[in-house]
Amino acid sequence: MIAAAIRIAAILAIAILGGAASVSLALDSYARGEAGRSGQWVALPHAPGADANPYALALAGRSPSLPLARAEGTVYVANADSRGIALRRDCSYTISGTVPSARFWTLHAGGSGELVPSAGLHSQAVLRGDDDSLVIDVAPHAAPGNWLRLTGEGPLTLVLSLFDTPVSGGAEAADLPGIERQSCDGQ
Amino acid sequence: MKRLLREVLYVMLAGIVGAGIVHIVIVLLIPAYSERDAWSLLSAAAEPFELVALANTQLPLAGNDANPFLESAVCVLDLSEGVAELRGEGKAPFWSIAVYDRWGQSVFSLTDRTAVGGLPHVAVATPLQILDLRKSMPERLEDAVIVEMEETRGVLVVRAFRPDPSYAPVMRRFFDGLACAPV
Repeated sequence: MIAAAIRIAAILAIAILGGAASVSLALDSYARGEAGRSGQWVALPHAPGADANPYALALAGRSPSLPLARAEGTVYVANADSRGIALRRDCSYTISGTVPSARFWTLHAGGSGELVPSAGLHSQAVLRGDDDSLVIDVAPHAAPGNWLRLTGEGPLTLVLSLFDTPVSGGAEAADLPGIERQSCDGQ
Repeated sequence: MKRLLREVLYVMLAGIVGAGIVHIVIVLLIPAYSERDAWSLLSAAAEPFELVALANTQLPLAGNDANPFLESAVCVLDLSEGVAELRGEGKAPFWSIAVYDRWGQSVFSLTDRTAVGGLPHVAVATPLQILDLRKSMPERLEDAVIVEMEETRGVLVVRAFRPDPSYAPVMRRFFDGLACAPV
């Protein structure tokens, strides 16, 4: 009798804990988005559409945000530089390369977890090289040319938002710029 | 010893199968039972058809909602009060409209590039209401984009691009010129 009760309790425990944990893991991984083909940029999921799978709906159900719809645009985030080292607000980085085609784009810095409004750049106010290439200095100290100002300390998330764009986050987003770390304060 | 091993294996296998079932059930039930979704928080913070700046709601700003170049306004929709109409009189360098149903599913979206005269004019209706509209379209909705939403509850978000602080008057005119109301 007791053996049977223990057996059932053990099965239930594994089922409930395992089920709940696996849902949490699956949704977190879905929320982090799919990696675009280049470097550290990851596309955030769009709002689930008519063909949404249950995971997309579950994510929408438990996260209080209104992600962009496909027709509005696509948002890429980066939490690490091209070498895979986590981005920090007290370091200097250079973003260089090209940005996928879009009517306009914005680049801004967020904190960790919740994104706090901060300094930003957009495509209509940015200087380009002769070959349409882009160099942006992301740093706490002022830099000539395109400069994205960093303040404070802690982890850094870079958010590149493309608006009115054919790019929707899949593997065709090969034109995302690289992020090179230059130096860090106090090191 | 061997019997204990078989017991453990059996329990683990049954547990894993159970975990699979629990997993599926949880994923399917989250939308129905969650109170942390955007619609729940917004409908607690605003009356239906009341246009509210997104920055003023309880929504923990995340992802693109915290973009310093975007200003957004939300309108909670309740189609049981009638067909919802959003119309605007001002212009902005870029604006977009997105309609989400009660479950956060994107029902429709549109940018100023595809709008008549660059002005926002959208009507959201249930399938039944659309049948009525087809029979006799109210004059005020004649140049509106008609959006079908099966749910009666949803959210409409208007986002506008503000290139720099000097555009504040343009933004004010754009958002003050928006009206969200049942027809």
